Amino acid sequence: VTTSIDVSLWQVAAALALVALAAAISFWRAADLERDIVVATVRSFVQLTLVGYAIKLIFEADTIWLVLALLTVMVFFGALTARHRGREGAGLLRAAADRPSRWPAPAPSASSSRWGSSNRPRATWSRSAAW
Amino acid sequence: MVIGNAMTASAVALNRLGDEMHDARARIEATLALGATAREAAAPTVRRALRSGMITLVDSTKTTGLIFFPGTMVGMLLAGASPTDAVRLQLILLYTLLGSVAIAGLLATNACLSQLLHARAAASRARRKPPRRLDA
Repeated sequence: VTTSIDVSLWQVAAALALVALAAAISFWRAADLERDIVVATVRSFVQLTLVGYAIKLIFEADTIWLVLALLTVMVFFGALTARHRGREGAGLLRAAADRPSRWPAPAPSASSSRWGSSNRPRATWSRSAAW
Repeated sequence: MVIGNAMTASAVALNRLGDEMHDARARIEATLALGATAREAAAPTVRRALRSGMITLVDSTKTTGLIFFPGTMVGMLLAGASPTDAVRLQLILLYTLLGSVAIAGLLATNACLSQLLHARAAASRARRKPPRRLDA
């Protein structure tokens, strides 16, 4: 005996009121997340709808190749997302390496090969102070 | 799930709020000295705390379905429900989580902020008060 849960689109739309509330709070407190919240809402809707049907197909087909393909796609997107986050701090270490320090300078060959030549304009702190 | 996520988000936000208030103490006091109210002086700190509390869930919501399959949906599919219903229920859950995390973060930072400000005011009052003489 299976009990089916019927969820209408209206109920999903009602839940969107909570998303609007979250966006309003973010706007009110200037948390600067409104855009992210909207993007997250739309993306989760599209992705879950697509993936729901894909998973259904994969469960019904029950072949190892489809499962492996799904895993590959998931790992790929996971790596992509992680890479995106890693880029945010790009250049910080390099800027630190370029700054004249009170420590004895490393051998020029090591520094030039590893961190690029010294004729590159010296990086400044890209993040300005908040206030 | 709603309560658990709200707990995590407010814990992260409060942790960040405490750290930032500690670090930005001089800046906050300078802003106060320039005539800002306590809430105004702490506003940037509260903003960052609230943001860090919410951003984890927002980010994971963005990647839902690509990397992370939410358990409710998978469970319903495994149990034989139609993908439409499973997806819709999961969406309702995700949106509820977003709202609850925002509310929890807001309430927690608000409550903790007034606590911090009052504690600070009490501490400075205590500092200014001359030591009590026992013989007087």
